[in-house]
Amino acid sequence: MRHLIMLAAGTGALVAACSLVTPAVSFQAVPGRDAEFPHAIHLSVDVNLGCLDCHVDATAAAVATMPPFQLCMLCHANPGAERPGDGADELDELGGLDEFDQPAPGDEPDAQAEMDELDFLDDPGIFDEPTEAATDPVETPVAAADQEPAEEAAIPEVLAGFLGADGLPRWSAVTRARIELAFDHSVHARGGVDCSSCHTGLEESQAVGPGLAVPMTSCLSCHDSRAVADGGCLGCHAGVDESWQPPSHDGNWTLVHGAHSRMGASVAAQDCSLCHFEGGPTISCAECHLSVQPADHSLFFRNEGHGPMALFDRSRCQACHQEDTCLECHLSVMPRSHAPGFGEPRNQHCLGCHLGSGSRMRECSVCHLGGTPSHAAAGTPPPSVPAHATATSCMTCHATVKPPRHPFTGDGAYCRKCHR
Amino acid sequence: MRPVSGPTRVARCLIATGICSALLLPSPVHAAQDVAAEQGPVEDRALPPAPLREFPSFHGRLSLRYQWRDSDREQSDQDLFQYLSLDFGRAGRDAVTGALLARGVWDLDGDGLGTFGRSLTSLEDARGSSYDVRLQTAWLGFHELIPATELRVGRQPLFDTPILLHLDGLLASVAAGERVELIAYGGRPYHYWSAGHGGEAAGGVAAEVLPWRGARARVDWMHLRDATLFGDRRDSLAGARFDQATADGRLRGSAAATWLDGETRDLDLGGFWTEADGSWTVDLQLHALMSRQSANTLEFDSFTAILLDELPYREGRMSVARRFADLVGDALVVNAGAYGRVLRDPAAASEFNREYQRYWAGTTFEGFPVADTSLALTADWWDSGTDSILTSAAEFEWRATSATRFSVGSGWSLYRYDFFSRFERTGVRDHYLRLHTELSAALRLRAEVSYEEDDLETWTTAALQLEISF
Repeated sequence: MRHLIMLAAGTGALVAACSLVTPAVSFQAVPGRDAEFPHAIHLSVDVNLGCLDCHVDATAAAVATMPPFQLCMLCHANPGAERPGDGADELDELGGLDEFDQPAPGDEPDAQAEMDELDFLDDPGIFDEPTEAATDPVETPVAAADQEPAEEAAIPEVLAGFLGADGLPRWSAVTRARIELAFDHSVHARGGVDCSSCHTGLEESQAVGPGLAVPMTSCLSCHDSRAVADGGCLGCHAGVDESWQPPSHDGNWTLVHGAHSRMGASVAAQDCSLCHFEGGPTISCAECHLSVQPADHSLFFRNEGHGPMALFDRSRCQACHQEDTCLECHLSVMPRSHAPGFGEPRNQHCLGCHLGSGSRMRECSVCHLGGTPSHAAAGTPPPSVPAHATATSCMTCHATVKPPRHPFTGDGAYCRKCHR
Repeated sequence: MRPVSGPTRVARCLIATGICSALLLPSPVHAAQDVAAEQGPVEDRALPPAPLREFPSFHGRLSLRYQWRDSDREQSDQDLFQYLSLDFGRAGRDAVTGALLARGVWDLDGDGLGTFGRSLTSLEDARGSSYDVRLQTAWLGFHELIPATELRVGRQPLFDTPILLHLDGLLASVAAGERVELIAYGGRPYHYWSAGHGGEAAGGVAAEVLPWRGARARVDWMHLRDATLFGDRRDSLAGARFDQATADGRLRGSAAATWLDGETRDLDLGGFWTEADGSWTVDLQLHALMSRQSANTLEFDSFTAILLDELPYREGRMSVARRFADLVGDALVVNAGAYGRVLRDPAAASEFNREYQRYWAGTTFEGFPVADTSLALTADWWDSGTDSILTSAAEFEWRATSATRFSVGSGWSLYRYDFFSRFERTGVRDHYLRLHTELSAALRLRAEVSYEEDDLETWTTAALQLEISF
């Protein structure tokens, strides 16, 4: 219990220490990363809007669109007016969606250039956080206000932050579907998937930030990860083929990926095995480790270090090895302790067993069950001098006459274990 | 490190060279991709999503790795490793899929000096042949040949069973509706790192249920038998596992238990959480071995023939990772963890059943100190009071081009352990230089030179590996 308390205390201190280190630049501090749109207010009981009241195309379009600016103005241009109600009807009255034609995600100019510049390939948070390229379109309230929106005079200040230079609402970097993603929003919306199932936290959100991004793990909570992988990454990602690897795999990944794999079975099962499984398009754990041993499996480890390591945590060995591995090797390769001098003529192993603690002998018995044949003939007989036959204490004489050449403790009975 | 017969060596060289030459030709898959790339930009995929691209049906990798090792004890060793992996078909699209993974080790300079006192021996040297080939995976999968049924025949790993099982045999899974899957398997266990022996058998059944979103429940029963190595051993293991993830997948929890021959063996609880932007990741696991583990069939055995019985214990593990964007260089990733194990009966602690703590930490600087470089530092400390192992490592990588990376690293380990005396200390240092370059879309080259020294011996290793993808 004491150890567990120390463990908990140490980990708590570690977490606290990490918390105190505030990054100089964080998501919260990056201009444009968070657009202060209060979904919480719009979805509140007082306002009583539904998702589809504003995102009118969510059930019809493959890529959900931003609300047309004029739809916002139904309320915000006249704060005293009733809520829009059926957005589609309001749109019809205003001349339809074409009236507010705006670039949908992916339809924006030079989409391929954006595709080429997508930093998600270099971004460790590909599935979790927005890319720099995707961030760019989001204007800060101040910046947007400086850009003189098309209908500047009619735009309340509270809306100015959501308009681009063309005066139209812009997508948030964190909610816009990546153009390389094969994703049909309407299929999900019409299929009975509740909006909040994927867009978690919207009801309480005051800003559109990274916390509202839909990570790939959300997709995998419904879509079986193995089935997705079997279909190939290309099944969803246009830019992810078998040669692609996550940004986290850059740099020193070989050295540090072991720490990630220690993040529990759920991580290995859902994250690693998403791409790495036998029969899959990328190298499996087993295939790689057949040629690249774990980092600590140095030559010293192979020769000697694995023994002490196994004494700590034998289950770690079991990840790859069964017991017959040990036996198969040690039947041919003797333990490192069995170096020259261990046997004849110095016979250091005698001292290791008989002068050490009981554990020494137990170590021998690991392989030498029931002793070894050599032991039966290994004893040095006492000289054929009459006094030796009756002497009860060897050290009575041998403390001064021909003292033993090896360390000695005990009495004659101990000597006679070998000198029979 | 065994004698090699001359003609066989030449024949193998010719075969290997021939295969390499053939595979150096542009593969149809990559050629098609190259043509597509030359045709210009990918079409806009916004509305509606473009049809999904076909995933190539056939993949393979052949790697040849030459390794030379030398010791200051006037020992040297040269080996040629060959790795071949193949996979074809995609489940859900193709009726038949398959995979193969093979490893060959050829001791080029087998000198027949035996293994006593030698420091460059390998597991393969214990198998009495200078050329050792192991087929690690070889299976065929048949999908929907029988409605709602999938069959997999051959040498295959079973990752979802309570213990990892490599099986020569048959696996069948039947979908009972959209949320239930029934699984049965049987065959002979196979071991990656041993030559195997006769008299083994394994079989089991499992049921997997997806009760609601983000949840998965699984129950297993498996029976194994060993008949030759340690006598006739038969064991049955039952397991139950439940996983639940939140809708966004950022919080996951799991609980699992196993029963061996009717007695509770171990319990596991786990939780994992990651912040939305990935800047925080926390993992907590609790594991308890509930009963004394004595001799069992090999898959269930915790090395009891070597390390004697394993005594019940409780263990807690916590890992924390944090990623700082733009703090230093492009990013800074810090991770750390702590494990602690206590025996149920602390008085029973012994040489082979220890209470210990393990602490580890690592950090990676991306884009630091200059662009296109990264620096990683790691440390790991195991401590059981009398014995301890401390390791640390550093590695610096430079991405010279998009296809070429250089890395240089150094590691240090200190083993303080009970060998002949209670105060044995051995320091181990190793240094390495690596090159990884993609010569073409299908050809990769890896080169490595490393130097390792401890208090008794020094080793030098040079390796060159050519990997051909097709």
